Amino acid sequence: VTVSVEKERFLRVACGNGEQIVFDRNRDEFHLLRGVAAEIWERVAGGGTFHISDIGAPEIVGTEDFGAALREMEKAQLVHVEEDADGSPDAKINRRAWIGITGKAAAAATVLPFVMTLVAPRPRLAMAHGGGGDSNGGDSNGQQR
Amino acid sequence: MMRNLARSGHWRSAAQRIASPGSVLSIESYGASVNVELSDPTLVEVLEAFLPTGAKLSEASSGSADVTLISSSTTPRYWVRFGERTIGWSDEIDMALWWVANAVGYLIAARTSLTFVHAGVVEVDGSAIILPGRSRWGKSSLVAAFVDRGCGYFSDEYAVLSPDGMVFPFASPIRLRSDIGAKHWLPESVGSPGGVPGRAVIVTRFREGASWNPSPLSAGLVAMRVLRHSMAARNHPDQALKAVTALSRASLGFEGPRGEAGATADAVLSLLVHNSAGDHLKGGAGA
Repeated sequence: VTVSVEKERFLRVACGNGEQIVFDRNRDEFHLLRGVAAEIWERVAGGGTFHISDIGAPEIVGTEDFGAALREMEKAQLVHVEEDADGSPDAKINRRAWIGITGKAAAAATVLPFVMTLVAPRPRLAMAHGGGGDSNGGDSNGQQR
Repeated sequence: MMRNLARSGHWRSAAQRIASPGSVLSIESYGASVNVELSDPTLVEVLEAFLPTGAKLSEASSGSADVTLISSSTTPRYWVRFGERTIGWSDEIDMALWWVANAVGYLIAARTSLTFVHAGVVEVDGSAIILPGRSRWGKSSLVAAFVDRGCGYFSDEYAVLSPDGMVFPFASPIRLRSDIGAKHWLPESVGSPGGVPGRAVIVTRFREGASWNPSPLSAGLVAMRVLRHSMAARNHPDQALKAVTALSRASLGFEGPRGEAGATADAVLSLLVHNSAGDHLKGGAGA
């Protein structure tokens, strides 16, 4: 399983407490990354293609939190996850393991998401209607893009 | 303390001298300017009372009007135009002038290089409490409650953020709605003209029967809540992100519905006594 991140597409600012906010220039979206997702982003923010075992500390790669964070990052289009063909001999995590990890994570349905997304509001919406809704939590209200 | 600004009759100023029929005024604030045309130039005196403190009026050297106030010559009726579009009319001059001031504020917010956030702001002990939110969330009544308790008034419309997260005032009259209409009130205790650091970001809205029992917000969630109401978030995301995260790192954050404004202001001020600025509540998750 490899993870790709586009160079130049994202703007990143650390918030403290291990949180990061990433702005996606292509999609006009802010993403708040927390916990494992923020740790993963720390390693991939420079862009490029990474083997999955290289984007997290050894003790977290393969955990349910790791799988859940990566899946949320993929859903938010922060990263592109590509599954290898089965049986890659040198892969620490192969396709079967990846499916197992993310499946368990999805079943766990984390209460606190690792990734929260806000569509950048246009000025009039920021003032009168409060801007875009969060994709996780908050009062999601959507808006015209 | 309440008064009808347009009828108070003592807003004599130099402003009247720069207005003549058909002339276009330039209103400048935070490095941005907006052109306003008044069909009745005598209204410039009362318009000035609705503008944020520190705004400078002059005769526009060039450009067409961004905002126009047209007065009927036969009846007390006023139309407000935003560019080519009529955004409303009223028989109440206060209402029409408030619309003009609102449109001016919107354009300044959109044109300045600072980050404007739709929020109420008050100053307490040299730092700012920011109340981001939508229109009709009850920001103005909560701001008024803080001012009644001795806080300095910064704004009931915009928090102005510098790149390092300092908070500046945009103090125009507070519009307070009631069953019998709306009143405009400019508190005497307008806060420091210079910037102050953030102390707390309070995300709340009035809900009948609710009491203030907020959840703490982490710095990241504070930043996301503020970005949601940032005028620069779409067009200048790097500028907004830098200013808002700087503010969030310095500020406590709380979120939840509130009941009566006075009780909420008391509770917030009490809460701040027991929490220092920058002492973030670790792991605060919010709603």
